[in-house]
Amino acid sequence: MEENQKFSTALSHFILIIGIIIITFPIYYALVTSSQSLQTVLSGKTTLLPGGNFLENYKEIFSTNKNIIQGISIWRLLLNSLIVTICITFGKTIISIMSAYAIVYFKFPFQKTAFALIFLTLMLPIEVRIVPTFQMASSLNFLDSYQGLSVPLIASATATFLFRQFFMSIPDELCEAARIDGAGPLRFFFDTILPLSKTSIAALFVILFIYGWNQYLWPLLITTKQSMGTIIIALTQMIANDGTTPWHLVMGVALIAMLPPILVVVLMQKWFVKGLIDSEK
Amino acid sequence: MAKVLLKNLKKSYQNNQIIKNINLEINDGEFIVVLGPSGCGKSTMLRMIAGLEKVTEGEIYIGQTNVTKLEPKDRSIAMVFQNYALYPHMTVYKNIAYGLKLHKVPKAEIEKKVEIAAEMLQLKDLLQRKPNQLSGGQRQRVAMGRAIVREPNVFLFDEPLSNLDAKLRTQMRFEIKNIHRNVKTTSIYVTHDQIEAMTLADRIILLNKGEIEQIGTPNELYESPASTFVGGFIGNPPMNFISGEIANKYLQIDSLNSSKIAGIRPERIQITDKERETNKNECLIPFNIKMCESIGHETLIYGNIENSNTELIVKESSHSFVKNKKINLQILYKDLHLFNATNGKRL
Amino acid sequence: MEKRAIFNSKLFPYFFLAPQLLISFAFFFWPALIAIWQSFQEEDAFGLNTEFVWFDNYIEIFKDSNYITAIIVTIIFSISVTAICLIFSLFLAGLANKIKAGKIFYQTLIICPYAVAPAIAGVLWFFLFSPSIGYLANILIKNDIHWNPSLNGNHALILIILSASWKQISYNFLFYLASLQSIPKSLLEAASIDGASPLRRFFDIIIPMISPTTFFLFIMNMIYTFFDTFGIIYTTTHGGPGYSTTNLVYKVYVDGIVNLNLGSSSAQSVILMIFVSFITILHFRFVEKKVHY
Repeated sequence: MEENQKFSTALSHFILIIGIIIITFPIYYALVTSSQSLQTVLSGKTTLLPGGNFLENYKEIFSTNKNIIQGISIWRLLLNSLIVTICITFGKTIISIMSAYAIVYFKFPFQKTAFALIFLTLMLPIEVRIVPTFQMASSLNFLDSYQGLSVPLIASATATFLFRQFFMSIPDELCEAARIDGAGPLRFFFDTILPLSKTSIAALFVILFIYGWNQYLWPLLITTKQSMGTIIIALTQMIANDGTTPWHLVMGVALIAMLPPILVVVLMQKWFVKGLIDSEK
Repeated sequence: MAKVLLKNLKKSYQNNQIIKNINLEINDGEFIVVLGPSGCGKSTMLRMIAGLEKVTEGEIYIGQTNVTKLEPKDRSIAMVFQNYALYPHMTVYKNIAYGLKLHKVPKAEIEKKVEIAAEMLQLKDLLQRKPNQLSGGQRQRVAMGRAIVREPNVFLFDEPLSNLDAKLRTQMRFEIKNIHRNVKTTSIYVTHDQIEAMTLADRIILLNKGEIEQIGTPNELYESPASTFVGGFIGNPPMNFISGEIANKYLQIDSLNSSKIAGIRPERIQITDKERETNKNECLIPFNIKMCESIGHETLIYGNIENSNTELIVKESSHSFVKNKKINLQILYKDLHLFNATNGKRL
Repeated sequence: MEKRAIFNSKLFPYFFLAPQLLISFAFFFWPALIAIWQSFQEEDAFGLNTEFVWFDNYIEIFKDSNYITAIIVTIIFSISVTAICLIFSLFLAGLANKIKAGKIFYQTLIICPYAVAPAIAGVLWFFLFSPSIGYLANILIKNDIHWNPSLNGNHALILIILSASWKQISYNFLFYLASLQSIPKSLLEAASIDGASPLRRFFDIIIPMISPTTFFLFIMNMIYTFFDTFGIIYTTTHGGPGYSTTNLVYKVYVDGIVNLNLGSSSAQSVILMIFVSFITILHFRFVEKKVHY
């Protein structure tokens, strides 16, 4: 029995390691490619071990005078991505915690209607209303601007539902005690609700950071100037149809572009997992 | 400190009347316990006094002020909740001080008041802890401290001890009693536990289906229940009831008939060897023992009056009883309570 | 469910709701209404005149063989990705649930693809499977498979299925792991005392216990393959060759933005909206039921 147990645990580990190798392989292979010279890559004789051009390639990617990506410095692109992601993350968190608070802690005419309207936005992902949303944004002069890249993505119901769910789990007596202590709605919001929501906010931060950073279709439409592009848009523009794609650099940029969200997920893993699983209950 | 006055108080949800016309005057410094079965409206009544529940009809006065339409914070009340309702993210100190801070009490004064309260409640070493690091009893003390520092005109307690285990409950009961002795603030205390009510109250208000069944001292409720409901609710085990027809066979009371019910407390019935009454003050009832339960210092005897379905419970201090045995029960006339059979009211 | 403790304030809730509702109106409801309106109109080739044509656009798209192809592509794509994700991640989660040491290590590596943008995932897989330069493409070609996703529609479809599944396994894994961990140990112990073998326990107890999670993941994977895979398709195949990897959302993009056929694109959008509404309601019905149990 004891022997059996040991064997099955070892087998589990073995299979898991194989699974992990398969799952991480594309990322690892990008790392290997980004350390090769372009000739080696194009010859199709790349091995699974890193080559010797690692530093050289990354120096080229980060150099400010060469600007390998359509004449725009990678720093500018990363900054664009960061600004847009931060706007989406904070904007979405703020407007959803506010609307969830209004819906849970107040009684007012059209409350049900307001809730239904927010619910309805769940059924309208940006992909299905892409053309008219683009027309709307362009009529507001949102093209090639940070507000254009972020504001239309800000209002969605999932974050509101997450907060609503959490508020419902706060005992009613807490609000009553606060009212007896003399706290009004604003006081209660800032003194009690906000500090209590810390974990939910942290979880949401991870989810929204990934959501914002990884946007593709919308930035593709709303930006025409290279200088307003996100890092991901720029990455895909490096790929040429005529076989001149600098794959060793593309893979380097791809790794750089995926690093921030991966770091956020890994470092805040505990909250992320909790938030993800809570948000769907 | 202040009187509390409820005038024609009513509350209904949709068409459902929860509180039906309550009139009540609570004296300054009095400890009032509102007792009743679950769903009788006792919590609703307390929450109306607190201002957490809107009043459908009627008025509430605290002191000279009509507070019926005032916000909870303007009523000079403090409340202790069943689940404590402590702010989870604040330390014990901040929990206690929060209400004072919101009422713009100067900082030095807050410190002094919290210190006094912490002293009284033995919380001094816990002031920097968060609620989740405290035991149930300690949390309840913090909740009490939060109420005390406010120095309100009225304390409201909503089943504050229900979440504690039996031993702690007894201990906290004493502490609440002590605190009341010290601060002498008018207190209204809601519970479904009659022991809490009997031990704490100056006066008990027994509520049933949104109406007051009886107001009185614990002794009055026990000794002269105003209705069969009160008799059945107060006392453990509850009062025995014998219908007038059956009682008529054994009890020599004029006009005892089916329009009346006789009540007798289990602890006032005695088991006797006598075959026949020896004086005018007593009567004997033949009884079949069905089951006995020993609870240590005393025994509960279950059975029925001979030749009838009327079940009685008898509380005795001796132990040697045999099942299925016929015995005689001795009842003193002075221990009998008579009620109207149709509305249950005391006669 | 409603809160008992409620503040009395007339203006406050509207003020707090305003930002979300305003943005929703500007970028959700108004565009959606416009899409519905445009779906009943036809624009001439120069964009000068529009005409109200009732359901002509809808009739047109169902006559369009490319649209039918897109439906078939969408179904094959969604079902394949969903099946791969469910099976592979349940397998991994089952193993991860069995071991004691190193769980967090495995979990950390398995959730990495979730953080990778669909567009980047597309680039990585496109490169791996590029004939003559990609590592995996070379292995296939060495084994006499004439791998060429830019000419062979089936190859292209396999490519997007693999890329899309790779990204979504993390999500499925996390939910399955949480679901498996919530099965009470005593239940499995009772079953083994009743004499159930590990395989029997898996099919008789674990599978039914995690079936709510499976249903939920099925819906989430459907929504994912419909709406979150644009980046993958755009960077690997551009919907081609021909229409062999164009799913319904990609077609909305192509007809609306590339071909500038607003009427048809809007009609397709409306059909997708109806589809999402159906899925959302199904999902919430189910969630509500689960809460009541």
